[in-house]
Amino acid sequence: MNSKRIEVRTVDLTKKFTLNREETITAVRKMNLEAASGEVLGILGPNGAGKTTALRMISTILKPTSGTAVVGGEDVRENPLRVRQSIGYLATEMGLYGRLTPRETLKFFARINGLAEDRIEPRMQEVFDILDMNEFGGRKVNNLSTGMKQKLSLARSIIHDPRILIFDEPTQGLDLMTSKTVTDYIQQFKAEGKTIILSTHIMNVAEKLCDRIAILFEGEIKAFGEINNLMERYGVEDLETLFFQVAGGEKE
Amino acid sequence: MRNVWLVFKKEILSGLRDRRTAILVLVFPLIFYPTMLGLIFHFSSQNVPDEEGTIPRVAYQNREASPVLAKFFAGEENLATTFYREEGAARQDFESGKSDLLLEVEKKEPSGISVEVSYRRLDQNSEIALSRAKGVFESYLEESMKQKLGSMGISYEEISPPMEISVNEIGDAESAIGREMLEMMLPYFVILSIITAAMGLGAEITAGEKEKKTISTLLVSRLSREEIVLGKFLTVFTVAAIAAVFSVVGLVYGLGLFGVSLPLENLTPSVFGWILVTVLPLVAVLSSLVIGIGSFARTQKEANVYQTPVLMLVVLTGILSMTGGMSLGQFTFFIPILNSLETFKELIAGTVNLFHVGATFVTTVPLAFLLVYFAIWLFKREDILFRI
Repeated sequence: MNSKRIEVRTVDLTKKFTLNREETITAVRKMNLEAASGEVLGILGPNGAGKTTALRMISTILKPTSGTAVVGGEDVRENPLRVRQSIGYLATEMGLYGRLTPRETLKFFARINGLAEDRIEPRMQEVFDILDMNEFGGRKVNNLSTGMKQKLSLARSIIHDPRILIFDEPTQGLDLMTSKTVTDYIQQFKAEGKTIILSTHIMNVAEKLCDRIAILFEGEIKAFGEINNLMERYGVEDLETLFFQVAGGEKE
Repeated sequence: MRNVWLVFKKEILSGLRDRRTAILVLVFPLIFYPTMLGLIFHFSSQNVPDEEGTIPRVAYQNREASPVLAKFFAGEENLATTFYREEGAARQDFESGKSDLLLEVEKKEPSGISVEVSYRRLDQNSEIALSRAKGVFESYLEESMKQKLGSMGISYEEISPPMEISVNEIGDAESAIGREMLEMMLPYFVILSIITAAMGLGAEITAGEKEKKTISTLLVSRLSREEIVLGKFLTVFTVAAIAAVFSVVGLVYGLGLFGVSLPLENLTPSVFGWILVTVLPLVAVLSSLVIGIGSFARTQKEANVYQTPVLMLVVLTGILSMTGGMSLGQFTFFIPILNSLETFKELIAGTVNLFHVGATFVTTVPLAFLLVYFAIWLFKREDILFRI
């Protein structure tokens, strides 16, 4: 791990939301974690723990209230546009343009992510081959199955060949087959040396994919490290037990 | 600028494939509005009473005051005159709507009479009755003059009148209606086409983007938020401008199918250029307003609700301009939207008043910039963009 480059580092990353004039909530509190190249970092936590907010700050969608994150060597506060050059983001919802085809979608996202014009076609073909999308490349997105849409969503986040991938609940709501396809690709991206940060609340996904995990509860990181080391430290034998113990819950 | 263009191209491509956009940009201006106006014209022209065949009713009070005048009215075949002796009876009839015109005649010493005429404004029969009654009065006065001059030994024919007026009616009724429709209604329907096209598309590409959760994929790209808003603004602006052009084409050619010929001789290339200078900033104002609303709203439905007051404002301003119901003098040309419509009306009539065009331009263009800036400001605010 030490020989690898640190691609993402958060420093006291905090986000507060104002609910009304008197009330604010702290969605993420002083988050400190890091992810290196060729590593999959999992952020685990129940719903409302602050996973999406944390990923949105790392991806420059949201501005931190205090603290910062350095992504691909650039500070999210100071150079958000530069940070975006090195990241690919997959949101929880697929969020696709229904009236465009996958080919049109990818071309648009390749362009707005700064891929050179002469590289767009070869890269698109590459992604189509990697994700096995050739069959439905010309069909309108509205007419695609959920699995096809998820592939397109994934393709969109990697079309510009970013070295850092941020996936928010990448397998949520997917059937077993599609879920396996997605996890297989994540492993493939890892093998290519990309840095992957993903959020999930599905323990076996985390167990299968992540090198290190951060357990997030009520906006705070309760534990951060390699899965085996954490299990050893807490004296537990599986990730689910670890999660409940760290998060302060009880295993049902 | 390249990024703005990329957003624009994507939105246009997506919009073109949307049936609703096609309806708002093509069907409404080219088919629906002309058909609606044509049918209104068709049916309203059928309802116009035939003046020649109309015999309005006249309530005449106090025949005894001037038997001669009464005789004139009784002899007028195009008026059905009823004479009343009882005090107030004629007025009662008129007020209850049984007659179209009221004549209250009184003796005036030493030898004349006074006549009080009452009619109902904007009542077709009443106005016809008034016009015919005036003719009867003129005949009566001429006859009285002849008698008086004769008793003084002067022949009426010897006195030449100091002035003679002759009124010529030029043009047929159809072209007059066409001109009126063009000058009054065209600006109204153009602005209606602009706002309906802008609203439909604007809500979808702003609030709809949030609702469909596509927004975050744009926000993590290399597009700045300014570029995203400007690309969307440019899309709405283009579509609304196309709808405006189509509404002109639709009304000019569509109304022809209903027998209404619109006089287009004033629309020279230079006038058309001035029309663009007047209308395009208006399109920009409405487009940016719609984009601002869409940026604020969480869903398309919510955006549609917020757009309703804007639609009402546009419709009411359009009606105000169409009916000429506001007399603020030159100040009118400094009131956004209203000034565009008023200047547009003038230009269609062939009048190029550079002060009016200039006043409209210098008030509308900065407003459009301000609204675009406001939309960008809204789009940059996290608490608005990610409002729960």
